[in-house]
Amino acid sequence: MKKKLGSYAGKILWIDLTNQKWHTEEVTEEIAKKWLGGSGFAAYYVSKLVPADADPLGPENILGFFTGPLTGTPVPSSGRHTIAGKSPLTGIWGEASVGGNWGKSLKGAGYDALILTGEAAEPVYIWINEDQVEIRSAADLWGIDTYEIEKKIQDLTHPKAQISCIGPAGEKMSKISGIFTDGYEGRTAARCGLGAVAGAKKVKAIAVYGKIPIHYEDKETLLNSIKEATPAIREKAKGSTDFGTAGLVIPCQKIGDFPVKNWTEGSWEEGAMKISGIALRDKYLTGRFHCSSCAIGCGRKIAITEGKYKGLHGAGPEYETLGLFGGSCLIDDLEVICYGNELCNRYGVDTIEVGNLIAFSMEAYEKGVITKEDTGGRDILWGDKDIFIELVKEIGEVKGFGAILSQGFPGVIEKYGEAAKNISMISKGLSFPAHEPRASNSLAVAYATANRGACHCESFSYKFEANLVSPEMGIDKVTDRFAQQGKGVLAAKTQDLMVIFDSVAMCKFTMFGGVVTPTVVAKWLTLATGLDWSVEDLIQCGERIFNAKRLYNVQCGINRENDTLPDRILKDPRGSGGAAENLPPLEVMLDEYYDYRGWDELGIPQRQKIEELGL
Amino acid sequence: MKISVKLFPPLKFEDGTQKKSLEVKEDTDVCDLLALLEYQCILDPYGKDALLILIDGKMAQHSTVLMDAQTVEVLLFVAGG
Repeated sequence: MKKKLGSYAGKILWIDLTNQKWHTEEVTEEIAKKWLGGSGFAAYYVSKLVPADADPLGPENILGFFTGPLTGTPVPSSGRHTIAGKSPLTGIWGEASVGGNWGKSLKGAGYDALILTGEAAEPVYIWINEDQVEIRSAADLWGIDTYEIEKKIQDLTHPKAQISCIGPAGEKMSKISGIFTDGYEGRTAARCGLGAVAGAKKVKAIAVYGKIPIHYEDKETLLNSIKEATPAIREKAKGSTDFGTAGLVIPCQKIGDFPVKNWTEGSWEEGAMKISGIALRDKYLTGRFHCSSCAIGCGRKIAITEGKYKGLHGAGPEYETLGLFGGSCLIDDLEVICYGNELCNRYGVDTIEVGNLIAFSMEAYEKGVITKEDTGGRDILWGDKDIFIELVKEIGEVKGFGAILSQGFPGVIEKYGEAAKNISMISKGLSFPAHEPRASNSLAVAYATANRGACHCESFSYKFEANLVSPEMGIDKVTDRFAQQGKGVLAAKTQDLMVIFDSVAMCKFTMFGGVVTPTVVAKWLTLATGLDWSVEDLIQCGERIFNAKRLYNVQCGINRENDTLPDRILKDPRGSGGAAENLPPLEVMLDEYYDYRGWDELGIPQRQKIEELGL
Repeated sequence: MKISVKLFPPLKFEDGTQKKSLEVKEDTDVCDLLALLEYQCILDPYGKDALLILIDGKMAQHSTVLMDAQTVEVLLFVAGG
């Protein structure tokens, strides 16, 4: 008799857009044990299905939506899923994790994953209501923003359907566009330009609804364990509940872990106070958003009730947006940042890319890399709020100078050459999130080696240089953030750890309080799925999945030459702030990293490692 | 010995101020200081583990021993990022 897989739905839904057909495929125990789910399933299917030389915007690419075995369960903060394909922005592995409620609904409809192949001839939206799957015309929906589309599609499908969609930027295949869920809550799979993949496939949205109950191996024990852990998770994450990720603005600025003036300066104390999570709470907060089963509620519900932006309401800016719109562009006005954030959400673009691209433009204009001929006759000056908003709109609408920026840094560098490259803060084509690698040596090596390009979420290694340990991963003590030795190993271990969370799919914020450890995850996973999971199994899965993505990137031409950071980070100390003089010794740390990973000196996984991981 | 303590928002002393000079015993470490501060300022409800401690601008751990005339800065370091 076939073994049931507990909280896995047990099926993957495949939709062939070219031929307007769909079918399902069973999730086997072998696949589940080897690849976990979420990010792990993404690694397996993208590597298997998408040729390394495929055009990311062509029919050969897939767009996959992958829940984890814990998505949709009462496990705290498990309302996440991963969206993946080959990235049109970077030309390599592309992945973005997102919260909200859509993943739970896909699981409720009876599927662990949805994989879109081919491309539609005309704009469509997909309606999944358990075993009824329809591909419908979206001719009347094309052009509608990500906030307004939710209600329109719910009117056409089911009032409780969850909607995953692209905005106008994704329709125009902006390479910095993302995939959005939860309407006004603006939950975003922002990175890697996956909105453009949906746009190329002409898929405006995917509506899902279902009430198929999840099966648990041992529900009573699981619920008791969750009940026991939840108060501690809430208590440890109280700061996130009160201030959201915006609560990081003040401490990150203080320790030099904050972008200032396109990453040229190290301190912005007065500005940080004006745009902090406390200022956001005191002036604009009206409530909080929770992803499904979330014990924290870090999402900010804001409203502006007077002034130029009166009437704005919805999702407030996250730390990343505050850092890159605020510190990097020198915009010290919270209302301007909130409005810019809302525009990005509605157009459906990644605020990290937008913030970096506008900061780049301000520096490029100052240095003569771009001129009024490029900018439509305008001065692009640091901290200019009106220009900032104009550029956000142009990027979202893919027009004027914004049309160039909307293709991301690789496109900008192609147009403006070496001088532009020198002030582009990217790794592998993906721009930096709002954490400074000069403030954390482990983060420098983590950015350089992250599979999707510069990414803090693939490691969160800097947390282990502040106040976090993970004995199961062999990280027994907090280490000096400016030390060199051990940082390659720390980056690799934390990358493997984060893959576990992205695969089961749980929010990493539950881990930062030290309550949800790999031991706890293994226990909950075993109780939910009925498959035996040890901590060692999970760690090996994490390593396997990370390496599988690396192998895909190697096929795309990635090697040590690409595992690097801009000269600004490696050669220019900022001279001020909490990490004024540190420069990360990247090459030495890379040697340690490769050695620990079992990769050769060019960063290629060696045969022994590949065989050991069953790849 | 005497040290300076600076709290960053939302943390503050009970009298609403954010900077104080404190007299502490020799060999006081960060953990001892935080225990002392619990009675003098608003650290709750965030808890000691959620705090980032800087001594003269450098990150410190709970076991770090304080020296005379040092400045200790205390910040809430929320989960997330």
